[in-house]
Amino acid sequence: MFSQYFGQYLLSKGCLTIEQLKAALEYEKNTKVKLGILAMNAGFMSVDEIEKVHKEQARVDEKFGEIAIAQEYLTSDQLEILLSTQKQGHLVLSQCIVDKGFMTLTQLNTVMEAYISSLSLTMDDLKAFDEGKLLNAYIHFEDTLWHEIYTEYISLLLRNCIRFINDVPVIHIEKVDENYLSDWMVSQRIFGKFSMFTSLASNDTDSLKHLAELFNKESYDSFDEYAQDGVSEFLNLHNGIFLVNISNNGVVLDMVPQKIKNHVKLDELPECFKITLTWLWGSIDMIIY
Amino acid sequence: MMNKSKTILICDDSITSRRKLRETINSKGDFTIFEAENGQKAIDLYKTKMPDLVFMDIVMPVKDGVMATQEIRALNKKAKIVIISSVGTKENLKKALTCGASDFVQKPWEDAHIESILAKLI
Repeated sequence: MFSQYFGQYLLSKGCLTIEQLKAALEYEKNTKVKLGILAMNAGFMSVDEIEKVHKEQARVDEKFGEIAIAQEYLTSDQLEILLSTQKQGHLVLSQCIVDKGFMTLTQLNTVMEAYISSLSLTMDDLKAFDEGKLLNAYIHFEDTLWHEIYTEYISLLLRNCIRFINDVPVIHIEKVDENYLSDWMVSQRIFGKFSMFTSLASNDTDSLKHLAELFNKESYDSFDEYAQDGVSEFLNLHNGIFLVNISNNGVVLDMVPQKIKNHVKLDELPECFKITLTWLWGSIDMIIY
Repeated sequence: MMNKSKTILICDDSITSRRKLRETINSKGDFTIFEAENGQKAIDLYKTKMPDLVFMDIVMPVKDGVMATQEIRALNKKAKIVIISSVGTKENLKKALTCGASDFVQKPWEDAHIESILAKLI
């Protein structure tokens, strides 16, 4: 799951395009971490030393570890540690990005250091997977007094994606100044101490259908009544949990029943944000204002 | 196995939630189950079927679950109604108890919780 967050960071910094990130995440499924990446991550070898070993590997039929020990870049104890290191998401993604040629090892090393520094994390934190810090590092709602509420709402949405569909999306947040059009929209209004419009929208019914399938753990032939109900219930459950969390902080909120509409146009939207949720299997907008 | 003659009314605007709850209940014994998609339909069905137990969602169109619970309890002070909702706030818990609900289940529910309610209430 960590790779999604690191991928999100790379996306937000413009290091990768969304297409490259999706390709790397897809490739990640069947990739093992190479020792060079592990050695760099552990601080046992420099990028220069790793590249020298890679060049040597191209010349002779020897394993990475054998060459690194022969060149005294690694001790046998360090090699043992690397070999026994558990598979870690961000390392796998790093491997995929380098393999795909999207970034060089040096570029990746630089951005990884910046990432860790931006989160005020240590490598131990990273291994312990401090999700809260990881999420807050890239959820930014600019120019709005609602920053805190929206950040909490989207952090929870990502946690609920993990909890209920076991697949966290890459997100892209942008302010919607113009009208917003969508073929399908499931919406729900929250009201009370403050009011908030929430909706899941997409022109792609396959994406909506797939969300419903993952949530309900069953298949649908089309974006039919049951699939629509699945998306609707996912939003309702997410909003329900949001209300419980907010209520625990003393803010009483309620919500109206969800509505499903097609060919929707939203206009005159003050403080409206579109959060594009992208999974390997599709994309859905979360609209909040 | 529990008694086959017992009847249960499930009231939820989500067709999937109704089906899943029906499947959970059916896995715990043989019951006759009725379904309603909003609070008003639940009241109408309650009058004709007089079920032994009602599972009631809160946020629904036409008439919400709290109002429907109050009206059913006005019809029958001994009606057994369990609120089942994703909005398990302290305020809703209070509302549920005030309007006479016997229990509160937070969605997504644990099957064991439903089983214990069935064993306790009918």
